[in-house]
Amino acid sequence: MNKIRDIDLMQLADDELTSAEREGVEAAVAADAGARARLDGVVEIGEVVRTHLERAADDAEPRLAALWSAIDREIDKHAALDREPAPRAADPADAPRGVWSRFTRWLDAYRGHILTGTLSAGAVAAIVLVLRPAGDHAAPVTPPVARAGSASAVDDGSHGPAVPVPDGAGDPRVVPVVHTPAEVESLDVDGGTGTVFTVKDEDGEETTVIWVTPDDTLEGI
Amino acid sequence: MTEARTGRSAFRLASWIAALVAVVVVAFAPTSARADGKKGDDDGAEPPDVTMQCQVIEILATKTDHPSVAPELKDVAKKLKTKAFSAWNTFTQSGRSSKTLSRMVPETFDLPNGKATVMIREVDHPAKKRARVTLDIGLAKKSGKHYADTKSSVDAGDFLLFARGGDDGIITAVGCQ
Repeated sequence: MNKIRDIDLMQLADDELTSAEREGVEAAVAADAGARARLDGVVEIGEVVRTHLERAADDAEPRLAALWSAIDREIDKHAALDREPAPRAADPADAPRGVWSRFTRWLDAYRGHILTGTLSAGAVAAIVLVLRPAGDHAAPVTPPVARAGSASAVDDGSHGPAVPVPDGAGDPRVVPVVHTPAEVESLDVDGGTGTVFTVKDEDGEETTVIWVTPDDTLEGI
Repeated sequence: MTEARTGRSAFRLASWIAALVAVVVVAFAPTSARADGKKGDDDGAEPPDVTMQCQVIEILATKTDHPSVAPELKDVAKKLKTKAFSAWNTFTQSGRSSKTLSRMVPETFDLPNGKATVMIREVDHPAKKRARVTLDIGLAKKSGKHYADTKSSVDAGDFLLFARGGDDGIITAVGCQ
């Protein structure tokens, strides 16, 4: 066999050779005292290194233990946080619940229903207004004035007597209505003649005038 | 389940709102029956206890160099400015009498230059128009001599005017409301 290489000795010492290689190397080492000595040296160096590493690991053990302990604590801490319910974001539902806020939330939730109701109301109102008899639309008229104990009085007008007022004057509820001029159904004039005029005033409103002409006036002409 | 129940409640509430609005519209809609005191009948007949405030205005009409209409005649000023009275240009109020009249009860209004007898025959309440008053009116001179009788219908608040005379005239305005 050729000279045994150091790598072969190191692999033999570390038990890293195949069985065939191992047999070859062991046979060579057995036949070569120098190789035997080098193999012992390799084995011894390996043990020294392992011992050194074990000691270094032993020396580092307290520091590693403290480190692992710290890691464990962090892990436990995060695990505990994960188990707790996540803090909720600010929810409008957690806000103080006043009547208005409850109403608006309810309105938001049932906006469709409200819209339906409103449209229904509008439809009903429209139907009522359309189908209502025409007479119901009659504008209110000045109601008759009822005064108990009224007495006859000649008035010169300076005391503010009750005066017919134009439609709607002073009463916002009164709707302007159509004016109809006075109509004369019958007219009897004693000792003269009567003439009925219907003329328009400056506002275009018709005024009815009965002009009475006595016979003596006619005779005088 | 709860949500569905709440939804039905909301829908029921909306329906109630609709019904309420409809009732309010109908209740507050102006009707002639409510406005004019009629008791639910739409035949235009007046209630039996109708009373109206009627007044008679006596106006002296002349022609002067200073045309004017007395301030107290404001309610008939427009009528006095019509061409029916163009023969005169100055109008003053000589008297104004006011009375509350009941239907079919004649009342006499004493005036400085005569008398007027007025009786309400009937009051109609036509739709979209003012109440219409049918009046029997009789006029007499200061001497007491009767000179005109008429049956006329006039809007409530309006006046029917009678005129007589020559250079100086007397205008009598009769109206009820």
